[in-house]
Amino acid sequence: MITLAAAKGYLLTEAITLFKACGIHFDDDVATTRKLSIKDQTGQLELLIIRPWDVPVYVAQGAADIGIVGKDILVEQHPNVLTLADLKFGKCKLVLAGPKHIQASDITHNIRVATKFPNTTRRYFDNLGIKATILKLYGAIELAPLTGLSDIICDLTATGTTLHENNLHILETVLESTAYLIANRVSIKTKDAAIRDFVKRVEK
Amino acid sequence: MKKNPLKTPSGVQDFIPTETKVFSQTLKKITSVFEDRNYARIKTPTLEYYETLSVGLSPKLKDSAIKFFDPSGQAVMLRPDHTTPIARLVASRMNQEKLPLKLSYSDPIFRQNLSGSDNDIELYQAGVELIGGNSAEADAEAIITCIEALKRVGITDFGIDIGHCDFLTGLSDEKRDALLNGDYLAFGSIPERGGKELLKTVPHLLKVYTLLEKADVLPYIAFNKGLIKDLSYYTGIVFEAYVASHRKIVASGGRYDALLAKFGFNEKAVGFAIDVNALRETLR
Repeated sequence: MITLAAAKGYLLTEAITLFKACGIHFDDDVATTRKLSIKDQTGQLELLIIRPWDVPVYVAQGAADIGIVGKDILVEQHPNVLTLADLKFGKCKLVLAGPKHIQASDITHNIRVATKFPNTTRRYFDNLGIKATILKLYGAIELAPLTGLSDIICDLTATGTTLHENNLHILETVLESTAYLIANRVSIKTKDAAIRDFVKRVEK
Repeated sequence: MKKNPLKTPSGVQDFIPTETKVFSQTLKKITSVFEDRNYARIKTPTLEYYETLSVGLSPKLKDSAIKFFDPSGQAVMLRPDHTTPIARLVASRMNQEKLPLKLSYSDPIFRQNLSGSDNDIELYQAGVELIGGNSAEADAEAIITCIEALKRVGITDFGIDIGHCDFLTGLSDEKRDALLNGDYLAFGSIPERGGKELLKTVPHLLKVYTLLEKADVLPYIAFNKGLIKDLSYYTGIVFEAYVASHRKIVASGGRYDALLAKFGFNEKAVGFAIDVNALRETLR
């Protein structure tokens, strides 16, 4: 049996569609169940349904053999895991966005950036040679420039709707993300055949 | 919140007598294997000059070392590994000794915790260095010593993956980096892992295979074309031991033929270290 840690939310819904397409079925309705772990009908796959940010930890520490998580989170956390496949769903972008009066050309030293992704944001500005002041927030990032907490934000967007509703526009794309399949460094040795087989099935 | 006036820094720990007992027993079992196989115990100091040791340290180890200034203003570091200080010692006080030199150690190293969680910064390691020559016999001897040590500690569900720098011949820098980062997506596939059939292009490993077969340890072994470690350090065989039930890497080693020369002693060597902190977790 292999244990798969899956990020709760939009990635999970698409992951289940993918599982169905490659013949992995669950008795429970995975999207709505309150259970935190469920097994598929063959008993060969156990699904752990956890917060996206926790998926790399579960896999790195070996509490799960493999995991499905956004590339955005992998780039931010840089966990000690193996990256096996790009599952291609869950497309979104990490972008710099700001109020209408700020343009891309206004991005300069000492700009204040609110974000849930401080490491990625810092690396981005370091590469540009710009000294930015980074403010780590846990949610409602769009509010930061509107309340004067920051000048701009670095946040995820799929359709741009939330940004638009908050009168923010995209200035730059920092990275493009999709769902990635990751694995524990030891599980790939001890469950070699099962994991290779799983990758083959979902990569089709 | 009440402050704990007796707290210790994160990443280090006390051992009360019951804990010390288990810990020392584990270490004793490991070091008894080293003694049985004629490795002589040595010790190097916890504190080293930054300038001296950094000659042999990879950039990554230099970064993770805990560094500060001594009262005279000299930059010093807590040793971030054992092999580099041992190379320094052998090149200075032991360069006239008869080869091969078989040395062992069992002391902590120190590495900064650069992650957000409470990872250990004081890491107990027990290991060996086999200095002089680069034969398949020496490589097999290191691997067998590692297996014997883990067996004597009482671990049964462990395995050893073996790789070799020659597996990387012809790969682009991008592909090598991908392997180093565990990014099999960028590499293009999950690297091959198996037995003798992978060794056709690396005759040296075929010799090692035969020696491991003779020593009757093949059931523990898998060859892994994707196993790759610090390339500024390892020059030949590399290996790591894992405990299956705990999904933990508990030992790691390989051949480092260029290190001693950096300290002015032109000899080749192979070695490994058991990560005793990780090993303890599998014994709980």
